[in-house]
Amino acid sequence: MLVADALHKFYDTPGGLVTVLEDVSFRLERGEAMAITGPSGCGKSTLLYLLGALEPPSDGEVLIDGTNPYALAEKQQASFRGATVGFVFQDHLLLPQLSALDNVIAPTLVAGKGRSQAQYRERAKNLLEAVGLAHRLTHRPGELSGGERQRVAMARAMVRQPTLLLCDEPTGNLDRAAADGVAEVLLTLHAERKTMLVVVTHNAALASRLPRRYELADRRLREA
Amino acid sequence: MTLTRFALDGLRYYWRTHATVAMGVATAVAVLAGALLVGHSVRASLLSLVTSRLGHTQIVVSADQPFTAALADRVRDRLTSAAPGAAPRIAPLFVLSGIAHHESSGRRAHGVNVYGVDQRFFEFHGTTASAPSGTDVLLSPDLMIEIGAAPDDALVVRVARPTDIPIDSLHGQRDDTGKSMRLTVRGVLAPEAMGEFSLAAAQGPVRSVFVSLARIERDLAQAGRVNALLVDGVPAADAGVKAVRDALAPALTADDLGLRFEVLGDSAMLAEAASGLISDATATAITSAGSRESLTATPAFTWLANRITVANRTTPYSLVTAIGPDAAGDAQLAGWLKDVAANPIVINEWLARDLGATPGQPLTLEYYRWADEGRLVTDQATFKVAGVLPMRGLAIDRRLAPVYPGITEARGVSEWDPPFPIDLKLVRPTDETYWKEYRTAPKAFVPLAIGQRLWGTRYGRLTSVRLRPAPPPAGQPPKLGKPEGLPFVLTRLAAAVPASLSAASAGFTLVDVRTQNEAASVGATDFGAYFSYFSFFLVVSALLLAALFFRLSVEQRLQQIGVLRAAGYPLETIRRLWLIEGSVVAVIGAVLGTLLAIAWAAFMMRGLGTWWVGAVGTTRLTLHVNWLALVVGALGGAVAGIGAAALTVRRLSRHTPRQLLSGVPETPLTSSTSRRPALALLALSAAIGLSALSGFRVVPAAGGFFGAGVLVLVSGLLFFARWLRRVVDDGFSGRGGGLWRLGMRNASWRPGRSVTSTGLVAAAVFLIVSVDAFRKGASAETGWRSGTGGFEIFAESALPIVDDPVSLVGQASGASDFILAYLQILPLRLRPGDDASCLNLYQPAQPRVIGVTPQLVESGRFRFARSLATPGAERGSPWRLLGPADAEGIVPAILDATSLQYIFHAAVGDVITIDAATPRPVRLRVVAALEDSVFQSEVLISEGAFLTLYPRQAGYRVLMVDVNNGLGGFVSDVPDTPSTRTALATKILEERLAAYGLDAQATAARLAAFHRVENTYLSTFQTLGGLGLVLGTLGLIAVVARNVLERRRELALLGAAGYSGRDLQIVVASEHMLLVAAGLVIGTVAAIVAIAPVLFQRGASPPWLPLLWLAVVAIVGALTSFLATRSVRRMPLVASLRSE
Repeated sequence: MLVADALHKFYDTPGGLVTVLEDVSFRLERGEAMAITGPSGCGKSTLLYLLGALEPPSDGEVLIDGTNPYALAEKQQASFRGATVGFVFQDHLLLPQLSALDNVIAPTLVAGKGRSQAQYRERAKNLLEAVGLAHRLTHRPGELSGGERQRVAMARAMVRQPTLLLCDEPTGNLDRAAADGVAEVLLTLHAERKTMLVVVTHNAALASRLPRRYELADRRLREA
Repeated sequence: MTLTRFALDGLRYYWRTHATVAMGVATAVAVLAGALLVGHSVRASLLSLVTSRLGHTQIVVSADQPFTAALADRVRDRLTSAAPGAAPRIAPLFVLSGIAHHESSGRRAHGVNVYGVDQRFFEFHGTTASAPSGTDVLLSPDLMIEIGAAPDDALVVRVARPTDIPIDSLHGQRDDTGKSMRLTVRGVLAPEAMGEFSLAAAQGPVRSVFVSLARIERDLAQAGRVNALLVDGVPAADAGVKAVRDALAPALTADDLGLRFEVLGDSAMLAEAASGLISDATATAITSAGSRESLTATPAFTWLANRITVANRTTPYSLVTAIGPDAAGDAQLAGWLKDVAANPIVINEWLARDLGATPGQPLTLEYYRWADEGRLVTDQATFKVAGVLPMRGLAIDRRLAPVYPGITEARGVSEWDPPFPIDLKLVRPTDETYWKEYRTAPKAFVPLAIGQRLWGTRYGRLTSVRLRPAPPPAGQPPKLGKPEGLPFVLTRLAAAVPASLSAASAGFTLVDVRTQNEAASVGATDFGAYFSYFSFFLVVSALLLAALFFRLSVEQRLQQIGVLRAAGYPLETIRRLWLIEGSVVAVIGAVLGTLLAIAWAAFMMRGLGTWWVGAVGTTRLTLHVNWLALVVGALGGAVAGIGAAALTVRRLSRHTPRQLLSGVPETPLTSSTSRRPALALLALSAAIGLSALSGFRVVPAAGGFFGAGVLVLVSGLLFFARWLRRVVDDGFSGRGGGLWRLGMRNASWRPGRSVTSTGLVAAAVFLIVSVDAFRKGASAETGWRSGTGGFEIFAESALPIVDDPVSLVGQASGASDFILAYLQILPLRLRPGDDASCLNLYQPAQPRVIGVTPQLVESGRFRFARSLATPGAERGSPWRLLGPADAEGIVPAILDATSLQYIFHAAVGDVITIDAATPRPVRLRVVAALEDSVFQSEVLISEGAFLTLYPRQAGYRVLMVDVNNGLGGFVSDVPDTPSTRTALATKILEERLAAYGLDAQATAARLAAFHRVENTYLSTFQTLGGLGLVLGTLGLIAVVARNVLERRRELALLGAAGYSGRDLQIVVASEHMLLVAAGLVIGTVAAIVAIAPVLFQRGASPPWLPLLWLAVVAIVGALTSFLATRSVRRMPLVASLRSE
């Protein structure tokens, strides 16, 4: 379960204190999915980073399956994040020096003991197959289309079987056809693997396909 | 897929970026390893040079006086018998110093090595060259070129004539201390045939002549004698010296020591020295050897009295003998002389009659004494007549006087031809009668102690030792009852005396010249260290550049790092990944740099042989590749490169994952920025304070210079960082220059990059400008308190000058002419040796030593950098600290401050040892250091200490000359200016003292020669600093290029908004020029503050030339940046807008 409890976020800038989020609270059960919409610059991505243990809230608490990641030391926090959270960014942010397969495998290199690299490799291949890229395993990001890159990014986010999948405008850089394809893949993966899914998006079509929809406005999160 | 492969994939993919990092590391390694390689090459070249010049020479045996050439065979035989199986080889030769005069061209070469050699010399060195014979002379290649000689040319070689009697003693022949030999040039002796043979450790040209040993022996009247032995085939170092020393002592003969033993009559023997004087050590040896043969020794010291006066009657030119207490067995004489305190004198009957003297009367002796300052002094001593000896026995013993050339063989007193003036008018017929009947028989006797006190010299205090059988104990017959037994005893005695003397006390010196010179080849100047210092900035620049490039490469991939962090990579793992990449790049750079280092070192060595030859004085330095130097340099560069990478990745923790994912690394300027102006002001104030303290000599100059410089640099960069911030804050609110202001704002896009690259330029500029202030030009200071001591000329003679040089100059002109009114000459004693200045690359093992006369001490000339003088105690003149050795045998010495610091690596107050490899090492306490003086090549000690340490160094070799106003005007057509006066005096001195091989030089020119070396080092420093500036500029270009790349979309947007290509170029170029200008200004201000004390103290003007040069650099830099940014004009608008 993902719990956001009275989250606040503000930044100390030379121009003064800037508040981005105020009293944001919600719960998300295993297998649930939610969409967050809102105007640009309203703090959607910031909320996603707070939820994904990438940036601590100024106040409030985040609990993922009962664990507050910000209470962990840096190394444990990274390990927790790697094992529990998967990220998909608007700019796919693939590593250009690695092939599609290696990009998917990359997060498993710090997964510690438990599974062998061969098992991860197999899983990565399966994921790429699942997103329709079985024929693109050895291609580098520069050789893939925008939609393909985003699907690789989704496979990368799922390779460690996270319980929480956070997507930041996953279709923001794609044309409609590609966006639909990516949305389909995303929802299929979510359905198959029962992850908690949080999608920040401007894509109304995508948002409408998710059971819970929220809007972030005036620094607060409201149910849409 | 593993983490390592992950890192290597990154390495491959971003190879272009990494290549720039690797090049930075490679540059650092090349410079660092290259510097070490230069040091090694200089050392190896010096070693190679010195060993090739020594040939097979391991040990050199030399002596104060020539010895028998057969000693070589005797020593070899003893070495062979001491170590069967060994194959020692020994070559006897004459080693002299002289002047070579090429007759047809008139060219002269001073300080030429003159070797008298035969075939044994060449066999010793394993060459097949033929020894010169007859009047043939072979020349070293350098001398051949210098004097322009050709085969069959006539060459006059003049050398100091070895004499038995020291020339600076009463009986020394001073009229002609040299011997000229007219020889015929047979050709040049090639280096491989030992044409560059030299026992000295010096890198300069070898100027030598090789003359037939037989010819030298004949011309110097030293038949069968030599003055040096070259030894090879013995163990190295101390073991070899010991072996030769052990073999030498028993191989010596009386002839080698110049000792004569003779049977006198039927009951006595006589020991005399060819020099006329027996040293104390030899006298002790004779007495001891005599004692072992049951002989009683009676020392005698006979001197010439010019007048002996009693009342009003005088007897001229009489010999007086100071005799030992037993008076050679004459009990009556011994009794009369017993009461030394009463100043007794015993006269012979003839003198008593001549003077009408009777016992109890006072008697005055007037005699000559040779004063050490090079002149005859007439002294007097008063005695009381203690008795009158009848004309028999000792009273008529003519063998109490040694053989004096010009006196002993004369038929009458009027025919005497001594080397001192005598007044023949004083000689009466009765004196001639005495001479005919008794010749050199002394007319008077005094106690030995008194005679030695009055007439003793540093060469000895006895003229003979008489030996006779000791009186037998009561009731026993004499041990040597039969006269025919004496020759047998004499033979044993003659063998025993040399054997009981140590080599050193016999006047022999053994030096393991190979070990000594090899040690000297380590060099006074560690070029490896110097080039490392000189290259320090270059190395740092290269490393900073590498770090900058590495940082750029990390910043380029910040989003990747963000993704990895989001994917659960701990920071430590990410650091490790990037560190692996950085390390591999650093190692590749180090390997590449190792190869470049060889090329760089070759380039530097070429520089030392061409542009910077002034620093080394030779073109014989070659590159010697040393793997250790390369490995050390590569390791140093690699470690520094990895360190730089580690520091960069360490900074990753400053960024939040969110910042990383956004790809914008700069941390917003926080409140710490607000403290920057205060810190900058504090640093600037501290710099000015430090500079002022340095100016008042409260803090050391070097500390003040670097401290103030660094503080101003830091202050300037803080101000610059603050200014960049203000540019951002002000936006476009400022007035004018919209495009330029936009460009300047771009510089604040990544302030860290801008400040780093500006710092590189500023530091380079600081070094280039400030170092120039330390250049030394022709000194305008010529006063008594300057580096010249107010002397106009420094002259050095090849042959010792024992008479007053002023008189010699006057005599040479045929009359005591006008010249004497215009020249004041201060003669100084010199022990020739290794040049102790920066002109000599070798560590001076036996440096040149000068004896400072009381006149120089009293004059208070020269300026001192530091001294141990206490205010008032030495009356403001540290010269007064010089004096005799202290209780520990340490001699006070003064050195030039530059030589002390850079050649001897010591400080005032330290004790240094010279002549360490000789049997007589000398410990010196440095009591003062001269500031920038003409004495950089020498060690200065008091004349008294000099005479004690080097008693065999006869006469004066250095003349310090004052030239008075008017000399120029006295000679027609020569204007009376300081330079023409000095030139004229130089010419006159060289001409008139040509027989002594005088080489005169203006003190200003001598000082300039030292300055040239120092200035060349500064040029080297500046050149390497200039290369650092190039690297700094490269860094700037990289920073601007990177900024353009990162902001190309923004620039394209400006283009879309209507900015022309030229407008965009101005925007980008202004950013570049701003950074260059900031670097130039900050560096120049730092330099001016740092060198202000130097400018103030010297009254020098600011270094306009480098400033002008930097202005040119700025203009060229601006133009270059404008040209380099032309690509912006051609930037594809749409592609840039779409770029990721």
